[in-house]
Amino acid sequence: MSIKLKSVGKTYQLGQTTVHALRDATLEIAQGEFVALVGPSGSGKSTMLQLMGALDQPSSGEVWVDDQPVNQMSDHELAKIRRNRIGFIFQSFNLIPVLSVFGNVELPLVLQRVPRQERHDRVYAMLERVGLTERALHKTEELSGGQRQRVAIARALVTNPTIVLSDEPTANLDSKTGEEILALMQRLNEEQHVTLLFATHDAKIVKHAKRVVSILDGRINNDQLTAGA
Amino acid sequence: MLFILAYKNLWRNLRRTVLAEISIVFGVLVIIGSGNFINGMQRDWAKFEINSSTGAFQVEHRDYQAMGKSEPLKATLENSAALVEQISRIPGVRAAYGKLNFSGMVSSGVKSTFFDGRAVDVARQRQTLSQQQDLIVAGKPLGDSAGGVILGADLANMLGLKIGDPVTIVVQTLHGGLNLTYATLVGTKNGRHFPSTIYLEMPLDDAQKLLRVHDRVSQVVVGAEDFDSIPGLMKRVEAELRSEQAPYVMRGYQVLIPIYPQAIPSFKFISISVGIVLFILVGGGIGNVMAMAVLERKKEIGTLRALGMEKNQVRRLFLTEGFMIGVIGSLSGLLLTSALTYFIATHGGIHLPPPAGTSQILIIIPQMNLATSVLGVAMPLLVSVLGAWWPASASANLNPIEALTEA
Repeated sequence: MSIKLKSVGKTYQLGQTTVHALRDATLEIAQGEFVALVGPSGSGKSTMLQLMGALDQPSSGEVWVDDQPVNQMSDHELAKIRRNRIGFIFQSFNLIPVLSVFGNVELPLVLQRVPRQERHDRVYAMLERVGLTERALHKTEELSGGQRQRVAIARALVTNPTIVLSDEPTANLDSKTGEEILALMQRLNEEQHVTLLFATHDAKIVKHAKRVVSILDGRINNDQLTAGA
Repeated sequence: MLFILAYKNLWRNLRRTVLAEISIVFGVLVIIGSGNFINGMQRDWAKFEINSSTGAFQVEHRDYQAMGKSEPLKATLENSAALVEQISRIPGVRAAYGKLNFSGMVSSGVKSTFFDGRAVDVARQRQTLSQQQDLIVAGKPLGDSAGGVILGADLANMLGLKIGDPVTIVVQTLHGGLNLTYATLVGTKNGRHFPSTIYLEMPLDDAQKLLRVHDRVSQVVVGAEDFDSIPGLMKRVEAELRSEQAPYVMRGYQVLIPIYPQAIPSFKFISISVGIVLFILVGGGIGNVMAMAVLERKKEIGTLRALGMEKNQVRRLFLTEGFMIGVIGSLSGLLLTSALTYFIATHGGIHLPPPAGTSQILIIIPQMNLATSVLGVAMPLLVSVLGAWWPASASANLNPIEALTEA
């Protein structure tokens, strides 16, 4: 078991209004799954990713990451979970512009206090997997959108996380590059058995997933395996 | 890595960082520069007083301060010629001379008044006080021949005397008798270490005969070869004289120069106050720079938090950036101030108009000072970190989700 949501609810207070972003969501994602979380904008996909990513805590219910309950964790413990168990891939890449490609991929390992030589080896191994070894010392601004997202994937996977969460990973890419990125994620999922969960409202990219979870108005309304599973 | 990240972040907004650095450099320049100026002024003032009036230090009888003011002849140093000779031979002493303080009445023949007199060994005084002639307002310093007298410029005016006029001097001798001598006014002088309305100066031999105090002086005025070695020289002289079991005490220029002990702390207070005000402003500027950086980098902070960076690491990142701004600015400021100080010092110094009562133009040679330099570097470092503290804490406390969703 890599991640589990038990009757999770999340509410936000917007002035006088209480917004129910997630209602009674129960979900289990096992090690090595490739899951697409689909639904229209505002359906609660991002909230669910944030809860699974230990970026936030639920208003009700429980979130478990690798048999550890995220509820009631201190800020320090949440940061530790994120650092060691979770990888993030963002829609707009969120690379650190002052660091090189190598520096961006190295950063999570620095936070884990991995020794310098090991960091070097792991970063280059990861860059080779995403096909960016030649670009290691380039600034991220010199890269194309697809290359930047590859850097973000390398950064998310370099720590060997339990699960990689991705919010609209192809939204800022053209369709061809988006396909390439999804193919890469699919390949890494198969090679490394890393759990991948990406949120999207684009039906075209759902075909790459082995399981599709639909969410509407904060509720999970469908959870099914795809034909390729 | 955090250090590298902090350093690289500094240059993301070059103009803003450069402006912050300029404000620190300016602050350092003002505080160290004014410190160097004050330090130079203090040294030049002290040197002028030492070389024109007080000497580096004076040796006197330990009872002189208690009773010498009212009865100056009662607490004098005996065997003064030998004592002056002994002190003059000590390495580091440029020269020394005996000075006898006394009082009496001086008359022009038409008017008479009391005076406060100094009798000096003229030849040795010339060697000891290289600038004593700078205090002469009219006429010339005392010569080697007997019978000359110098009066304070105001005293000479009051008595209606001109250079070359005869004066009559009446004193009470050591044993209580009255004695009288005639002298010729050779010069008038002004200075901050004596009241010009009652000042009289005459050769030591003449005064000793007049006062019946053979081979006695009130003080031995000592000149040093090097200004900076005065404290050490004082200790050496004191050690040598103490071994003689004699009743000597030393008084340094710091207490001999009028208002010097009060003026120096005042200078320092003004300098430090200006520095504090300046650096509060600099600290505010740096706080603003860092707050802008936090606002602009919210999304990046969210990313770092998502990657597992802890709150205190985020805080440390921004504090390091603030510290680096401080280091770069303060060291650049120190370098610039040192170069400017060196340039001014080697190009004639700063010329100021003569102080009241003197005709000598003041030339201030700014002087680097370790304490001022340390303060000038430490203060911007401190205010940079303090200025960055609030933005750094704000960045650490950002909700990672809010930061990530920032456009």
